[in-house]
Amino acid sequence: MSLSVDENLKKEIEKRLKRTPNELETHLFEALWSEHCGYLHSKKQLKKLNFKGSLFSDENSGGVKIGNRGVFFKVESHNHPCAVEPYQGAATGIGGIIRDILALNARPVALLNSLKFAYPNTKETRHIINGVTKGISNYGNSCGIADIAGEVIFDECYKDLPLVNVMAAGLAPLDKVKLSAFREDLEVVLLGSATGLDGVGGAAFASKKLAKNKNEEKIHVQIGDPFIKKLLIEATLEILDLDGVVSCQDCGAAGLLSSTSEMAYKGKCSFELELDKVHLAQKNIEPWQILLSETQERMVFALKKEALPEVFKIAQKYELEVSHIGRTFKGGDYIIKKGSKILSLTPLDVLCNPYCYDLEPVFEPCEIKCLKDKKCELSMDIESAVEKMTSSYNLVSRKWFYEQWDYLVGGRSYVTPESTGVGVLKFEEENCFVAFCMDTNPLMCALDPYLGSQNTLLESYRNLVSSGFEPLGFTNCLNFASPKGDDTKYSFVKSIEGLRDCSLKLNTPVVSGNVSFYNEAKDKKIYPSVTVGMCGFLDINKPVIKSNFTLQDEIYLVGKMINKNSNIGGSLYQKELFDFLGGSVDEPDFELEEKLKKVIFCLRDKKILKSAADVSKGGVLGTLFRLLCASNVGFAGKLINEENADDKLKLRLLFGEIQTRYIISTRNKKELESYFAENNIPYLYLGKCIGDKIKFDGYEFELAKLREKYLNLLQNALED
Amino acid sequence: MKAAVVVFSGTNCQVETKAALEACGFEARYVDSNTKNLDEFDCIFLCGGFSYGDYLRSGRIAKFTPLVESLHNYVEKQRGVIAGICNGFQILCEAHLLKGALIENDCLKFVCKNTPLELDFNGVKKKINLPVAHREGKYFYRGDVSELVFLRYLENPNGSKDNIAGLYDYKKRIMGLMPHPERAFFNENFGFDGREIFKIIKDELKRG
Repeated sequence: MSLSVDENLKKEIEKRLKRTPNELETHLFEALWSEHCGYLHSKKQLKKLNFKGSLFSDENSGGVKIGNRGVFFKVESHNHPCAVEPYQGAATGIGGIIRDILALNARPVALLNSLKFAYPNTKETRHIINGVTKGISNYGNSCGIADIAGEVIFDECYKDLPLVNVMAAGLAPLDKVKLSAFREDLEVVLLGSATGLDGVGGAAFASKKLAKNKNEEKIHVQIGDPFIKKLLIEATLEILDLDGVVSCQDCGAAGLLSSTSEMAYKGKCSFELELDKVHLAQKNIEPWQILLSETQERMVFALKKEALPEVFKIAQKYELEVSHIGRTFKGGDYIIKKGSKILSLTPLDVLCNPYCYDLEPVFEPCEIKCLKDKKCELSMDIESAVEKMTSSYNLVSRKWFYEQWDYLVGGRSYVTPESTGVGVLKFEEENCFVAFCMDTNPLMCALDPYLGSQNTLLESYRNLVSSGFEPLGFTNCLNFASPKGDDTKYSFVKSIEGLRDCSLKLNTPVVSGNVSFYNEAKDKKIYPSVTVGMCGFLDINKPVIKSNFTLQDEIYLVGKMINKNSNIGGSLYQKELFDFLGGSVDEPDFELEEKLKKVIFCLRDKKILKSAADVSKGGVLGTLFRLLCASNVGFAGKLINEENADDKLKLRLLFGEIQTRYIISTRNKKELESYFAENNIPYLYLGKCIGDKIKFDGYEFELAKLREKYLNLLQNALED
Repeated sequence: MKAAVVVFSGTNCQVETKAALEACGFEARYVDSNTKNLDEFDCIFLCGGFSYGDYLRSGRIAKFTPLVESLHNYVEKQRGVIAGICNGFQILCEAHLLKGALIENDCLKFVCKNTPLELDFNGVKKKINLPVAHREGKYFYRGDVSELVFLRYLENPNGSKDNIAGLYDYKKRIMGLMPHPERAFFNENFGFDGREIFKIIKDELKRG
């Protein structure tokens, strides 16, 4: 064998196959035994996650049950393609995740994204940011799926290594859901764009480090067509509603090969593919290229013979190309035929069951241990610190991004971006609202992957709770460097254990997920970036809690109180002000977490609560700054709760990040305080929304000036 | 009153538009691009989206469908009112049923936000807010169309000439606007000002 499958894997393949694979088969194995398709390094770890309560754990996407319907959601990465071709990379990322939801017969209704870039200080980075944003805009908007929420994080570790994680959510009546496994004696049909050379080898490309010369990699990037996607969505939903249609899967990484082999393997039957029948975009395309092409906008269906005419009729109605490419029967082989000649016959349990690495045992590498032991001794006067923090790309409004995405199309969107921490959809079918959010905390995961991933999940949890939603389940995207590195092995294993333990404690299952390794270049790795996308539920008769203030609101901090001994490792201010990363990460307090959820819901029902937001990046002052600027109101009060604090301690108290805290507002001080006292809730009165300045502990800042920066900083940086 | 909601390949605001029409008391029905006769309808709605992917340019391909041909007949017969929202407005301009053209926004980006507007109907001016969501929404016309304009931006989001957001034909039987009234109809978070636009259409229909 040649190509890029490593020597040990080659031996393993030959051993299991009991022969040397031919040239075509070598290509098949290269794709299916790649990290991207085969999850070689992650499969064993992913089994640790808590799926209890999820609808499916082994389908194109999982979901949660609401009434008689399933809400399906999943996040996927398109990091490598976006690094070399930002526009198409992002567009096809959206395209791919939409198809995963669609394959279940769920109509996709929302998109979210979690984007990570370097600071927009160089032309190259601005090119990536603009391309990715436009890719999402042009593709998502024209498919007619609302892009309702997300996050953008800036850090130099993402220089040339952007992370583009996109999430889609869809809705389907449970009795209409279609799964992906083939059954015996079915006809297999390929619907959608004609197969061409675009994206050939994409799966293998996504399974290694990026080469130096980006132009060489461009051939691996797929090209999306949102108009065809829109037609494909409508046609697929119509086809999947037919009785005779049994199963469906999209063609994503490793194209036709990956989808049909997985479907056959899951269905425990043989599949025979007739290459001559596949509708092609060009002549002179090799058999292996047909199998591995990642041409976008294609779906595979398995159906009973009687349903064929009806499927072809629907394809014709939507003016989509379709071909009858093969059939299934009793057995366990993957058979590729060209004319009457069999090009390859391989047992599916070899093809689809790649060798999996064991990452364990892992040990904490000294790089991470040393970081934890470091202490931030640097300081700065508060005025300069506020000036710098309010100019942080990480804390200002994401308006520049979300105004390019249609967050309203579809008629379900319920809130404007930045009026709550989450995107909210109205599901009148089940008399409820459903909210989604995405969060990542790379700094905390770098310091302590176990606690960092827990805190990431809890940030999403608090985002939902602060908007009034009961968290139901989550999806995740694990972005890491090469799994060959000991530090990455350790971080990856600990992140998974963190997610598992947190998910068990919160009784909230993981429903789906994705892993992206090899996010590294020469001498450079990204921070472990565990991205969580969460889904929550709210009765339609209850109000969605907003996060913004109005004048005369009384502001409180509820939850854990910060002091000079708190663990604030991974706080954004240390990175932004001093380029420091170190110290211990705060541990979650699950009991308090649960208690505060009840408090917020109860205060809402008693109509004492006016607004709520979780305290996250930037600590109390960072969060307050964002809320005040977004609401355009001033503030006067006291934020520092320690006597005789020096600047270093003040910075810690103002910007330090610990867990389990909310900022809430009320117009009913007396009732709120007596409720807190009665229920023994830790809280601190911060102050009142008043005037046009932000005043605290003797410091004073002009709201108008801060707000100007808050609203326009990113636009100025990105459009220059 | 019967309303047709036109669904081209790539149209994506039909559900909200139909719901808004029904809430206004219309009996609304979807019709597709092959519809050859529209006489049974009192008004025709061309709604938002990306008909035919907006390929070549927005509205360009939709213009050649049988539906648009029947729109011309519908106008000749003076049968009823035609309204185009966003992509619908682009199609009406492209089909020369309304004056002018909609070209790429000055910022060269898609813009999705709530926008303050001045509604000017029968001499009564009123400030309303409606969401816009488009990349080709900059209105342009070489001549003077000021007497046809019923909707102007107060904070021009796209560089439209004279802040034009919506206008009529000379007979006031065809109207087009870039903002989405159907998105400011059902939900307090986006306001209810969209109802004003649907009210105008109803009033126009009553006028006969």
